[in-house]
Amino acid sequence: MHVFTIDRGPHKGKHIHVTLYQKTEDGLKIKITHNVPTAAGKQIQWVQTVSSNNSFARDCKMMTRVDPFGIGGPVNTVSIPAVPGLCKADDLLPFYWTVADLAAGRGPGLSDEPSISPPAKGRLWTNFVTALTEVTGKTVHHLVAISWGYDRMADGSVRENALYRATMVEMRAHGHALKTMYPDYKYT
Amino acid sequence: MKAPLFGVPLLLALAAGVLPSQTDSAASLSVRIVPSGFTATGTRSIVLVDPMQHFYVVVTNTGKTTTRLWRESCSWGYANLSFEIQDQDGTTLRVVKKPRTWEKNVPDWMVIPPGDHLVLEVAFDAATWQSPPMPRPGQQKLVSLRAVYESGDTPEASTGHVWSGRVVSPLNSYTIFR
Repeated sequence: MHVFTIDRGPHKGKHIHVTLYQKTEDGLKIKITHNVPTAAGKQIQWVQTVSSNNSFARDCKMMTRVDPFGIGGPVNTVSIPAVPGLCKADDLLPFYWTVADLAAGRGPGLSDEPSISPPAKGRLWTNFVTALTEVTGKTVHHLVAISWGYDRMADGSVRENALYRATMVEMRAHGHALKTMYPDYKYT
Repeated sequence: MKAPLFGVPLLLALAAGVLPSQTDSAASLSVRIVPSGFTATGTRSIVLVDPMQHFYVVVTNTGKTTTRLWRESCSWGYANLSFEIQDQDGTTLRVVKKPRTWEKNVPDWMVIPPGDHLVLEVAFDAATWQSPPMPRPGQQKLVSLRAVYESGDTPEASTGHVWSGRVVSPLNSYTIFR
């Protein structure tokens, strides 16, 4: 389907592969694999940020957030020291898969199935930047990043975005969210 | 599981000999409401005076084999618990969770060995529940309540071998304090 190649560094020529990108009744479904080997002393981790005009963006006062970050009982349970308040994440690390997720067998690919109820009027837009990174200590080095997402319209329909390599503007917002929420890490 | 989940309220409920649950379409699970406590006359009480307070619903694997249940932290399990309230005239009202936005959302189940439990916390907070049966602040309300645990036969459930079906707790009277 969609292959995005790493264009520089020691993993040049390796890639991520979006094997599923499909509308659902109320959102979108995505699955991504990669073929990047893990070097000694390093980890390969997914990092995902989400930008939206939904209630989480308003409640958290952050248009772009490291995913997940929002309000809601069993889902968003962990307070982030750098961003106190009602909004919570699912652990204290900037990575998509938590330690518990990985222990449960998640990875090495990424899957997600975001959804949202239709708005009373207009549209709710949700846009993700998903990056494969190589982590050395506290340095998170981005290898390749893509942009994807969808709109939920007032008539209930779902409009999926095109899949493309994340732009500079999107990467700036992505990096800003990471630095704001998890300042102990360095992002390159 | 967090330690308090198996504390005094659950022991009290078990000691009180709550009636066996009804089972609709699956014989290997049961569900029951564990109240906050019991009054001197034995009435079940649910105390939700402080926003941090909650009561529990316990889903038990009564079968002989391990089963899988969706966690509440994914869309497949989030709304599986609901309640039915019966009015004095017999009218049944459903209390369900409000729809929520999902960003990170992956199928996530919990393995429940035979005899073990999935314990769900319920606070009947207005942010989570549609039309919860809450009295006005400082007041109390007597309700006939039962819990419904229902999990759909979705493609993800089939792929992950996650339990699907519907089980219902006994209909009992509870005094809700707010």
